[in-house]
Amino acid sequence: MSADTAVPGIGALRQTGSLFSLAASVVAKTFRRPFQVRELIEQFWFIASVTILPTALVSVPFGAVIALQVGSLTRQLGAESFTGAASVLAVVQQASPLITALLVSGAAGSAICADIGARTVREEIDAMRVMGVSPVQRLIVPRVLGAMGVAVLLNGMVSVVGVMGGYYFNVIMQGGTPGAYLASFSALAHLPDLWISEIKALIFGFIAGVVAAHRGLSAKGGPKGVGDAVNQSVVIAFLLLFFVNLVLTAIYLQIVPAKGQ
Amino acid sequence: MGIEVVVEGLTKSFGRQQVWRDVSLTLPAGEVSVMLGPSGTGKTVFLKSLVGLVRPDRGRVLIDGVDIASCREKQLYRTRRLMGVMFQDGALFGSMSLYDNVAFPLREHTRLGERDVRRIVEEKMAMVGLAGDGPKLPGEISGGMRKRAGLARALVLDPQIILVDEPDSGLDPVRTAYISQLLIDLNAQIDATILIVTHNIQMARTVPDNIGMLFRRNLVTFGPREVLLTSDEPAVAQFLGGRREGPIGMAEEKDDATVELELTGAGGIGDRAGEDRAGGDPARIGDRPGIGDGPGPGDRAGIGDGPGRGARAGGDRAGGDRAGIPPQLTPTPGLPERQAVNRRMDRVMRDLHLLPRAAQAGILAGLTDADRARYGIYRRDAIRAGES
Repeated sequence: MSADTAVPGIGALRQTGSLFSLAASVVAKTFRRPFQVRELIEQFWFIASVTILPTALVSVPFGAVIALQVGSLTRQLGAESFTGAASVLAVVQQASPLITALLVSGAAGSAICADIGARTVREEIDAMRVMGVSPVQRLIVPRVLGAMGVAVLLNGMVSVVGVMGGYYFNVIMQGGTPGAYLASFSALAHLPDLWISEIKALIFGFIAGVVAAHRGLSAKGGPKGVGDAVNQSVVIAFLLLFFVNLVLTAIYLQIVPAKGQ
Repeated sequence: MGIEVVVEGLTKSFGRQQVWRDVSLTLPAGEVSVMLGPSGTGKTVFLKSLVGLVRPDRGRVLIDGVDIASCREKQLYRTRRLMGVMFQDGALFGSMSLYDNVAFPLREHTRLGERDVRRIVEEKMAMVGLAGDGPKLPGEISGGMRKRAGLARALVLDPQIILVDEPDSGLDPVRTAYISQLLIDLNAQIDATILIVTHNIQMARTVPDNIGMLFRRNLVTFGPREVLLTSDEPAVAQFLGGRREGPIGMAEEKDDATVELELTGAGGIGDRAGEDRAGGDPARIGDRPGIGDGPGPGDRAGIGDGPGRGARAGGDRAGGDRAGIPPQLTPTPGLPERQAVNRRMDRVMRDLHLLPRAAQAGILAGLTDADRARYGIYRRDAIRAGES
């Protein structure tokens, strides 16, 4: 422990290591009996209930912004017939998983972190360990799975709502042609775009859940410690999400050829 | 019978702050032990290191052949099922009712039907005086009740080792006496190894078979209760007497300079306070053992057959500002005898020659006639040992 002060930056390395080890043990314990079905359903319901409305409300203006931006851009370039295609691609591939992830980690992750953190500082987690029950298996796995499941489902909803918002703004506000907008959907976008979107949502849900749980489990020092943990959890999750999004997008663009090539 | 806990060379620090170093002791199987120590000497950390919540820097904790300090997680979880731990404030799950809290280990680790679960939970809750409080939430009850519910939860799987962290803090003296009696009764019923971490002197005097004390990052002593109760170690004497003068200060430790000053006699007020206590103490402590001193099987308690002998053992000690070795609590009449008493007596008598003289005298003075016959000791020997 005295090594904490010896080498600068080793604390951050240690935290990173324990985050990864928690992620690994979440994966391992997902397949360990007994599976906490009840906890999973409760958490799933809870996460869904705190994220559905804000996500829908965020996705309408987000889809609109993309539609407006892309719409004016394509008009300048004289490629108005591709407005629909471009905005669908942007919404489905990028906006939708990110919105989902930000809300899952912002709304559900902070709640998970606060819950786990409060249990940690009240020694409930220790008590559970001492009773021979793994808190990772009992509490964390259902929460992470819940976050992943909700993220995937929400992602579908955000895609639909976002595209509908884009349609509304493009067709009604900018005077675009409905037929052209819809017909161009499949001009650039193809099925793998939807898959990568869902895969991203799944991974983002995992990251949001694991980061929230990790910060919660390492909370210490009473109520203030829980507050700090929630704060760190949201910040770390956001940073990770954008970075992982970059990596996944780069990989996807490399291995899946764009349509028509 | 309970399981022996062997601690070897345990050392722990947080950053640069060393909590304690090189702690070695053995909690004898099936016996009740107490770990004393002023606040902030790492008693709770010690208890947590016994269950693997705190990983020591060095040393081993052997339970049932498993080294808790270094074993793999899977083995750790398996070994923990042998243990019941009561945390300082109960550590109940805030989202569950008391009933669900107590039922939690049963539901996680057994395949009992709900009817059996209910029977066991209600039995344990009645044991700690919480019958009928099942539906309440931990947030709605007092600290003492939380503590007792925590104890019920620790007992529900009939553990072989019971670790109790400050069972008395936040409890009134009467409830503390009941908890003390409960722990002794438990030991009589299930013969589990019990470790109580506390700074309650009354509990330390009357409950355990063995006592240890942590002070200044060290284990001052650990051994049969008579050893610590008759110890001349300044820190031990100060702690047991509840006095201000001595090596223990308000902060973790007094400056050595302060101790110097006191030894040279500057502490006039302190001395007077000490004398006042000396007058008041023996009467108070003499009265208390009545709780566990019932007729019947209770009388067996070796040292504990009557206040007279306890007082005599105290009188043997020079300075006599404490009541010496008070009688130990005995199980409530009707319960089986504590097996630990005989086992411990055999062990203590075997190693008698290794103990300090004051402790020897205290032990011999406390023997009953039956014990003397059993160990081949004549009364004259006892008296001579006591006088020397």
